[in-house]
Formats: sequence, C-alpha cells, structure tokens
Amino acid sequence: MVRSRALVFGIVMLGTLLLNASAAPPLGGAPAPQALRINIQGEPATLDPAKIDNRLAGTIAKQLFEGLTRLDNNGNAIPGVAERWSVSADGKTYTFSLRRTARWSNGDPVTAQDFVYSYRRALDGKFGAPLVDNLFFIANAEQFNGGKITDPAQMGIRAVDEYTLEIRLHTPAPFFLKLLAFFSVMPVNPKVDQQNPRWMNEATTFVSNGPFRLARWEHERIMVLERNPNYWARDRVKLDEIQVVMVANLSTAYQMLSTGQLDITTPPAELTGRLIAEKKAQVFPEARTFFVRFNNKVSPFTNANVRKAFSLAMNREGITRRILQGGQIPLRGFIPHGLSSGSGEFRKQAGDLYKDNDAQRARELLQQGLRELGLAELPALVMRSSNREIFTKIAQAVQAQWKQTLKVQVTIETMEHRAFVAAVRRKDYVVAPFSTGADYDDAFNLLGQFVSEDFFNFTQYANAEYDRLIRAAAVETNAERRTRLMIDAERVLIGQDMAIAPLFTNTQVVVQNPKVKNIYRYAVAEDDYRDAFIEP
Amino acid sequence: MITYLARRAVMSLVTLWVIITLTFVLMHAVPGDPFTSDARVSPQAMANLRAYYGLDQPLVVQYARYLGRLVRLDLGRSIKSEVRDINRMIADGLPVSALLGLEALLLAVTAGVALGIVAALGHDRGLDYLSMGVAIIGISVPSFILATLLIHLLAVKLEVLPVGTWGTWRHTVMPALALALAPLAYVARLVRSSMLDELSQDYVKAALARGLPRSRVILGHALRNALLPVATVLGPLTAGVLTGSFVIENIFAIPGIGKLFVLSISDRDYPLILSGAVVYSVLLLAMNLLVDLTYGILDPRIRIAGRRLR
Repeated sequence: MVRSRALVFGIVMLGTLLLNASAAPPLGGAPAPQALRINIQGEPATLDPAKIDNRLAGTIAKQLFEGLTRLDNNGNAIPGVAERWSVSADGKTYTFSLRRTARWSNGDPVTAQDFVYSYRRALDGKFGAPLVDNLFFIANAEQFNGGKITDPAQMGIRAVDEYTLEIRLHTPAPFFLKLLAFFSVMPVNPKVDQQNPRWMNEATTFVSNGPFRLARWEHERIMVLERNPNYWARDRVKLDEIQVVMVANLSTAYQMLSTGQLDITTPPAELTGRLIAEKKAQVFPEARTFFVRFNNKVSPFTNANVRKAFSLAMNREGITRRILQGGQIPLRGFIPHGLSSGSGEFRKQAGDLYKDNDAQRARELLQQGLRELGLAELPALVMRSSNREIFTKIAQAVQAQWKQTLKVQVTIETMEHRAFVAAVRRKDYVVAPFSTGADYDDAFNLLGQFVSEDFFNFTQYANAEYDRLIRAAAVETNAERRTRLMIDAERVLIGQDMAIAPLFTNTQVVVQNPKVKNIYRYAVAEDDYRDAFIEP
Repeated sequence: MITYLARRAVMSLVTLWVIITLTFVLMHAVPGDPFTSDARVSPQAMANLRAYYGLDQPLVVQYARYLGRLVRLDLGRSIKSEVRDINRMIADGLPVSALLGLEALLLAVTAGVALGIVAALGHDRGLDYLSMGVAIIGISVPSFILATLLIHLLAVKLEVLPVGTWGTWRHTVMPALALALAPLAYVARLVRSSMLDELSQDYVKAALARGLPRSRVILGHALRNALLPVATVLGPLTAGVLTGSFVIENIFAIPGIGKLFVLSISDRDYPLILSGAVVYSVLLLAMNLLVDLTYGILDPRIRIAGRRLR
C-alpha cells in the first residue's frame, strides 16, 4: 500500500513536472503596457491571406498584412502600400504608385512584382483560394482561374516598373479601391513563398508587410503579434503587441474578460441583451441580412401576394427586441444597413419598402393570393431550419407569428447546419430562414444572387425586369445613375415581388475593456488595430 | 502467450479496418461536404477546392488513398487546417488531453476506490449514505455544470485559479476535477457493490476467524478481488479519458484532441474524422488488451491463452 501510494505520488509529481516543463508563460499575468488581448474563438485554418475564408482569421491577417489600400475610420479607401493612384476615364484601368518605404518584415522592399505574383498565385485554379471571386473584376482573371486561359500575362495585372502597378478591369467597379483593402487580396513575399511554401504555418518563418508581425504561434492556444519594426508607418502603431487567444466558448471568454484576462470579446448570447441594456456592450452593424427564403417555384410561394402576406405577418421588431436581443436592426428592404451604394448609404437612399407587422394587410393579401392560386386554404407547410441557435429562434418566432396572423400551420424541420445548407443549395425546401453577407462595401455585391441564372439564386426567383436592372447597374459608370438602378432593382425584388422576406441587419456585439481606444470597426471589413492604443 | 498476443493483434487490425471502412461510408453518407457553407463561394472556386483536397476523385480512390497513407502511419492533412498535418495535430493535442485525462483518472480511481471501500465497510450506515450520496451527485451532475460552478467559484469569485486556457498546473485543476467526478462516482459504486459481495464470501469469514488483522483481510484479500470489475471498466474509461472531452476542452479552452475530433464532424473534415476514429479505436483496443492481461494478475484463476499467466 505504501509503495503504491508512493508510486501514485511519483506519477502526479512527474506529470506536474512535464506540464511545467512544456509550459509557456501563463496568460493573464500582468501584461506589457501596450498589449491588447483579443479572442478569435479558435485556431485559424490558415493565415495565408489568399486562403482565409472567414472573418476571425481575416482580422488577424488584416493586422499582419497591408494591401494596396486601407480603410479609414469611415470606411473610405486611403493609401496603403500604394501611395497614390489614378483611374482611367472609363473606370477600368487603375495605376498605383507604390511607396518606396514599404518593407516586408524580413526587410525586403514591397514591390509591384510582389503584387503581380500574389494575385497570380491566388488566381491559379490549382491553388484553391476560396474567396478568389473578389479578383474576378480583373480582366481575364475568371478565365485564368477556370483554366480557359493558361498564360497569366493575359490577365489585367502588370508591373510597369518596380513601384508602379497597373490593374485593368473588364468592367468598371466603383468599389474596387475598397476591395483592395480586403484580406483576401493582400500580398505575400514571393521569395519566401517560393523557398518555403509552408512559410505561413509557423511564427518563425512568417513574413508579412503590415503594421504587425507574427512573433509567436502556439497552435490552438495563442498567437502573439508584435509591432513590425519594418512597417513604413511604424511610428503611428501604438500597440507593442496583440495577444490572440482561441477560446471557442463565449461564456468562458466573457469570464476571462471580467477577471482581466482579456480585453475584447463577443459576449455569450444569453448575456447580450442585458449587457447592451446596461451599456456594457457595444453594438456595431454588420452588413449581413437575415431573411426568410421562399422557394419561388414551390406552391404556395409561387404567388407574390402569398409571399407578401407571409412577409408582412412577421413582427421584426418583436424578433429583434424581445427574442434575439442582440441590437439587430429590423429591415424594411433587402440591403442591410451600413452598406454603400457607391454614392451614399444604400438603405437611407432606398427607404422603406413595406410596413413591419402589418397583420390586416397580410390577411387581405393572403386571401387574394389564395384566390389567384385557386386554393381554399393554405396547405400545411414545412419550414427547414439550421440547428444554429439564431436560426432556430427565428424559425420558432415566425412560425408563431404566421400561426397567429395567418392561421397557418407550419412545422419546423431542424437540420444540422451543413446538411441544411446543402438542402437549400439543392433547392430542396419550401421556406427557410437564411442569411447573406457582403464581402465588399457595395450593395451590388448582394443583389447578384437573385438574377435568374445566378448560381446562388436558391430562391429560384425569375424576373426579366430585375435581371435587366442589375445588368445595367453592372456596367454603369455614373455613381448616381448606378444607385438609381440598384434602388429600382430592390423595389422590383422586394416591393413588387417579395421574392424573400427580409428580417434584420445583423450586428457585431462587443464587450471591451474601456481603456482600449481607437479600434476601427466596419459593417463589411475586419477590425483594424493599427491606430489602437490602451489608456494608461 | 506470444501466439495469444499475435492472435489478438491480428484481430485488432481487422477490427480497426472494419471501423475505418464503416466510418468512411457513414461520413460520406451524411449530406453536405467540407465546403458547403452559406457564404457565396463560387462554383468555380468550389471545384478548385474540391480538386485541391482530392475530393473530386471517386470515393473508392479516396478510400484507397487514405488506407495507403495510413499503412505508412500518415494520417493525412486536415481540410479545416492548412497549418498542421493531422499527425502533428495529434502530437500537439494528445499529450494535453492525455495529461488531463490521467490526472482525472488518478483522482477518479483513488478517490472512487476509497469512497467505495468506506461505503462498503459502513454498509447501511451514515458513511455509506454519505459516500453514495456523493456518488449519485457525481453521476447525475453533468460535467459542464460542475465546470461552470467551479469557474464561478474558484476563478471569478475567489480568483485563485485562471478561468481557462492552458499553460501551468493551475490551469489543469478545474478541468481535471470536472472530468473526474463522473468516473469517480461510477468507480465508487462499482467498488462498493463488489466489495460487499466479497466481504460476504466464506474466505473472508475464514480469514477473520483465523485471527488475521481486519485491515489485512480487507485490503489484501477482499479488495484485490473486488477490483476486478474496476479493471474491466478501466479499459474503455482510460481510452475515453485520454482522448479528451469535447465539453471540458471547450469550456476551459484547452488545446486537446477531444475538441478537434468532435468539431471535425460538423466541419465534415473527412481526414480528421477518420483519424479520430483511428486514434480512439487504437487506444480502446490497446486498453482492452491491457485489461485482459491484468485480469491474470488480479485473479490467477483467470487463464488467458489456455495457460496461467504466472
């Protein structure tokens, strides 16, 4: 017995020793004066800017790399690696002058050739870049990516000289300069990439050109970004380092924040409402529309009046204020709040297209729709929903609202998220809550998915007038006229046809150490920490 | 002995192959693939991605490729992580999960056995009710509730331990406690009932009648036999505890493999799902073999391979 007890004790001691031997300095100790501690909820799948497909990893890439442009606090494009630029009269050719002081973290200069290399690399079909479409505005880029053109020199990307880059588009894109600040189009160092194709997987081999460089990366645990001494504007970077932890459980992250182990986090859903009410959490609009998808090819949603009835019967104020409580903004149109039209904020320009929770009108429209369909009453319907919390909550809320207002029996079929998305993509659904977000700050980005032949038209909406308006907007160079075309298109899509039933603009809810200042947050792009600092 | 071990090894390999094949078939039968998302990834980009990961090949080819890599002990590359291959992910995560699991296991077995003995000796009296009360709480309180309570008490209120993440022994205390409670309770109940069984056996009465010290009879004779059922459950328990717990790793933000494997399923990360099945099965098969060998030591009457072990 004594012997076995000694053995147990020995094993415990050995374990403790091993653990301590492999342990890094603990988190949560007294941080350096300018060390920001943030949470990205999990190990990023990659830090190769061209391979990232999500906002959390994109936020890290944005601090490590710098594109041709950056965004200012209001979301306007300002010089990044490009010091200045000119745009041709037809809006298709951009000429960028790169700053000669831009350097990679290993000291190499950042050149026009680096951008040519990086864009060609991302556009190579074999490379498998998920958000490669953002570069498809460049002449011949889509064809090269699809293998229809094999010579990369045929694409509209050219280094005129070491510090001059020319980009030719196949169609004018008024948002192109903002798009160049997006993480997926940031450059990589060609020399480093050719010598070691896996350079981006460890801190020791990581080379970047942004305000910060990767100093430490312990997988699944922590990343430390420190100020990049080679960054051209290093003097304006005030943070010494950013510590990035990977805590998936938001309750845990929130407890870490309350005990001083973390500076910023998204609060868990169950606390969001209270924290916003107590002004302890900040709310930022995110350019993502939550909506109810109607399958326009399946009865009774083939009928516009039935779709309108279902849409008007929904109480968006109730859903956002009482059920979700995350500061979401009810929508009376499709394009979310905060998204640009190219000549202003789209939602403000386009106005409201219907009334929320208009029960009386909803019942009238339903009767009218049923008459048009030759139905005496609505059949029982099945609504498919993802098992993600926000979707199940929405599904239950609209189910109750439809039952109350329209006396319709809707059964909810909850599915595992990917299985649900796969079903919607197969158009194997009748009605389903869904969401869609913008990749770049322009309403056009979200309108394309309702064009009849568009791959993402899972709603199976088809209206020749809508298609015409969108095609006209795609090539219109005058910002005012282009806005007008998009507003008209939204009127057709929602005001006239109610192809889908918009719900609300999503939000990003953040709890933050009040001493942290000057973080730039955007409805579309990732947070920017370049100018952030911590008050003493 | 050697033929026995060889036979077991071959049987284990066959079992493993069946598990891999079933997992492969099942995971491809589930709708959706790693790139199904509500993001508007263009069909062309999607095709590129599928080709990049070899998912454009027929399933038979994918299956053969996976087995081919597996015999070379290469678990392949995860689809969700470009950063590390799966061998490296497991090399990084398994020690973390295993260390935590061992801590919890030691706690569960020592405290569980002690509690079981105490309960059996104080049969139908206060101590018995107390220990079994603890055991019932242990079985019925889910680990995430206990974890949350521990965090609230020890990290938020008393601020003696860090809320989460990984680094020093202080980071292991709460997760190990939370992880240990359920198996502790299970072991306690098991030991109590088998101990009661043994204590009523004639050999115990005989030993006591011959004047052997009570402590020696209980600890040296009865307990040894009473531990046999514990050894039985210890195999799967160890395999389970070593491969980590999704819930605990999630709550305490621990970089173990439990989280990795569970998330791989909702991510449809095919190579990682298969690797999870392989790692867990190998551990389970190994532990079961170990347990079978231990039987012979605990109870010499049990023969394996038709011969006494000692």
